[in-house]
Amino acid sequence: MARWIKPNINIDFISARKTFWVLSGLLIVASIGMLVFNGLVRGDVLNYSTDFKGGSEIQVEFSKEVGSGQVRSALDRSGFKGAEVVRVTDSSRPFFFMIRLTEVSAFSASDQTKVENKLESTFQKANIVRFDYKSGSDKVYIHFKRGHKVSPNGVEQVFKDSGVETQQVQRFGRAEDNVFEVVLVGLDRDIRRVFDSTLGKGTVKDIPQVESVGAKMGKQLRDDGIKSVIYALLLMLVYIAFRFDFQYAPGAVVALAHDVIITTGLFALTWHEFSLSVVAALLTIAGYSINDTIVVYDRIRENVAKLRDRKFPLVVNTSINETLSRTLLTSLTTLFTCISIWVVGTGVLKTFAFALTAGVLIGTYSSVFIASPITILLNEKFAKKKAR
Amino acid sequence: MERSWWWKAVGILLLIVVSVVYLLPTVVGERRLPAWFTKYVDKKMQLGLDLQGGIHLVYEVEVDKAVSDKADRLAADIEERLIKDKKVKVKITREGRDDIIVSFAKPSDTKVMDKKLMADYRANLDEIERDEGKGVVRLRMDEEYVKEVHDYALRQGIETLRGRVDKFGVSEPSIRAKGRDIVVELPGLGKKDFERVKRIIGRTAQLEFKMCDDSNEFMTRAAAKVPKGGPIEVRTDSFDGKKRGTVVHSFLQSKDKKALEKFIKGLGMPKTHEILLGEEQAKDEKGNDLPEKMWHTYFLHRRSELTGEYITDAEVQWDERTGRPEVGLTFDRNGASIFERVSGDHVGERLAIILDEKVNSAPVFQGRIGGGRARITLGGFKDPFALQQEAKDLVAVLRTGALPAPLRKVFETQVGPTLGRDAVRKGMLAFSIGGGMVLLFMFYYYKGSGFIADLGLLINFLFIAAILCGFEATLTLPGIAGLVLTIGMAVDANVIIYERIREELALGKSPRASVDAGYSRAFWTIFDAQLTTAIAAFVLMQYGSGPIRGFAVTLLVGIICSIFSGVVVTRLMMDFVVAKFRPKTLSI
Repeated sequence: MARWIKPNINIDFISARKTFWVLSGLLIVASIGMLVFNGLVRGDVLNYSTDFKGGSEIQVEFSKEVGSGQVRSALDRSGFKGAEVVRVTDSSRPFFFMIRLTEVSAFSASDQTKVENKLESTFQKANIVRFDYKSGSDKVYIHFKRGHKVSPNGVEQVFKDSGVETQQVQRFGRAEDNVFEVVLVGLDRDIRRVFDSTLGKGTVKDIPQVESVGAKMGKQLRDDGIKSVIYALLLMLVYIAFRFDFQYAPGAVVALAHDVIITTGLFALTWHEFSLSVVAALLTIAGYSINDTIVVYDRIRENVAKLRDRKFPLVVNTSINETLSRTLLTSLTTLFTCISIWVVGTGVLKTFAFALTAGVLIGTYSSVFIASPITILLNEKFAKKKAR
Repeated sequence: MERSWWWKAVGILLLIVVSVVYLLPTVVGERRLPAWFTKYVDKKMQLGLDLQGGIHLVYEVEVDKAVSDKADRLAADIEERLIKDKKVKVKITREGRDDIIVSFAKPSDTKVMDKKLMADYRANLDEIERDEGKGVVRLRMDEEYVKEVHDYALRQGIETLRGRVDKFGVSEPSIRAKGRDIVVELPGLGKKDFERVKRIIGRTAQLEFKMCDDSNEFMTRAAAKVPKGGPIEVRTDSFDGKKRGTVVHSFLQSKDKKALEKFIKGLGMPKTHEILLGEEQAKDEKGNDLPEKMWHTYFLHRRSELTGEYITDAEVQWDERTGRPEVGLTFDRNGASIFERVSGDHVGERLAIILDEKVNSAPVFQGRIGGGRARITLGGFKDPFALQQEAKDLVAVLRTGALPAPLRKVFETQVGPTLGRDAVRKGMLAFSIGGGMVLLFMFYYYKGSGFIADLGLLINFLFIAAILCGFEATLTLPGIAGLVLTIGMAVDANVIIYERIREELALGKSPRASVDAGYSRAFWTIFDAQLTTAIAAFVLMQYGSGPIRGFAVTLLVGIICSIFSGVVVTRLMMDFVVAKFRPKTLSI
């Protein structure tokens, strides 16, 4: 019979509880410190993905060897300032890059100035009522003065002369309103053009994925992410308070906040991309961590009834020991799967699995060393109240 | 064995058979299955955008721009009327999105803006301030009206996008409103289509009016060429053509738009005419309405009589006589004169209202319509609510000319098909490795009982897959990760139970008593523990978008199935072992 944990095992987890609280406290402080450090030095607390930050993320596969520097300078010269270029290792794609831009459309600020100037010189400033372009949009609206004769072709020519490619120019609304709608080309097409012209024709083999997120949408996604974490924590707290005694709930919630904070801290430290799927991983970690904790709590509750003569701290320690085998085994099988995704997966999946692996390890630690000892602390407080 | 055991065993076997049946369309492929089978079971697991490639767009409806544009236009109209008709010197300025300020050069002229003049703008504008001493009147867009503009803009955006997406032939397009935004998901598109999609989808819709040529013999001849028994059906319809008497005309209807388009292409159309399609209530051979909708042909003069830009407004009204909803339409001055001529020339003929080449409606001209105001009575004998919805949709279409609300792209993801295929392959690999390790480990650690847990795990996976197929759930990349994770966590139930059984055995209980105690004591622990993960999954389902929701769904389904197979299925097998063989020791 395979048995790694002896049935009569009795490790003293409880006496050393203050040491582990200090350790975890330090880890939490370090995690928050790392976030603050990033905020000050790297400009953002976490390496937020495009989902959260807004901007664009484009994957480009080249047909020949190019350096990151070359890619960056090609983008820089074409008006995409501050592009982030990362080489992606992928066995089936040798020259694979991920490019992150702050722009969400191919129409840069300098393009806009050029077009506006050209419009003014072509149609006279007095005839242009408004140039309507919201950053990130794929369309421009030009309001001309009523009665001034303008044709869609004329407007298209202005864009062409300013070096901006358009997809379509058409009248918008009623003819007498004299408003034109200009549909701009997609970012991927523009990026392809940039590389083909700077690095040679046919350099870009494929653009397998493009994502662009407007600033407002990014904020909304970020808010949704934060909201989902808070709601999940609250719901779990309510459930535990309802199923167990209220004295158990704080321990569980402290433990999972602990897990979520330290995992986030790891992301701050490693500067791995923090995306929507990482938030999903964090929530799963929360669920998993509390799952571990509940198994121990269940045993404590059972033992409190059974071992009336023993002191509460001792009961807790016995319960942790009795469930230790299960705690470790389940963590192990879960780790098997997380690590296999981590090893095999690429991109988003890899980061996702990294978060899960870290979270499972931290979660297992916290349910043994943090969550259960906290119940002792609360039990003492409750007992004192009762004694009075 | 006890009788209840047999009942449970039969129940689980049934579940397994049903699961296999539900998996067949996804695993074997619909085409290789007989028709009688797919008639009842045709649901398949869907691959998310990130796995099969495709495009995901979120558009924001620019309501503020629509309102502001309308205010601009009203300001210009008022200015024109005051200067040309009333011959007063006036300056009009706009402030913010909603305000129009009219300043008269001579304060005494303020009174020309009387009730009569303002009555025309009553629905759109409120007078906020009037200072006759200074000669200033401040007008503001009516709040109700702004809200209405918003509602119609959203409706209009969805309507337009739907019409356009139909053109791409995507099998599972999804277009839905989310707050002020419209979310469009088009899975399974090739890379070449991306530019085309973005070009066509983003632009503002074109509204046109063309005359139907229902007395032409062309359609009767075309109808004779339709192959019998195919997807296309020939129908006739009639309407009161006034002076021309009752007009009977043939049209074609089909569920299959592509087949219809192909047939029309082969007809050899005269240069002056064209056939466009509209989605209408299908008709049976006697001309009665059927509940489903089909594509109908409209034989039209190619020349468009009028375009949407001449419309100043459209709204839902109520016919005072019948109490039924109808659509009221207002044209500007040019539009009014064109409309009067067209309606006079074509009394008793149908005017097709066409948005982006799709016919939305084709009312009959009852007589010459002057004054720039028209009413469209809706046909059919539907309940008032359905009619009202139809009226609102038509208003949304008609307003595209007058009050276009532009769509602004705020989010875009496009994934090429190769990337998705790669991801599926890697996901499956991770799944096999992770799952294999878990199976081996359980067998190593718990021997015979571990084997039972492994069987339970396989059955568990079968259930999860069948449920995902049965509900046509969308499998995403994080969803695959969720599946892999579920496999790792599913054995948790068995670990809790087995550890408990070991403890009971150590106390000297018999195998049978230990199994009983192990399962009954462990149940609530398992339930509580899994429920918290379920809470996380549930919250993710509410807030997550696309891929994340896929993760939440697989996690949730996984949890439910894991509890069931961990507690019920393996219990059954364990009971079988201890009751049938009555072993002295348990292989655990």
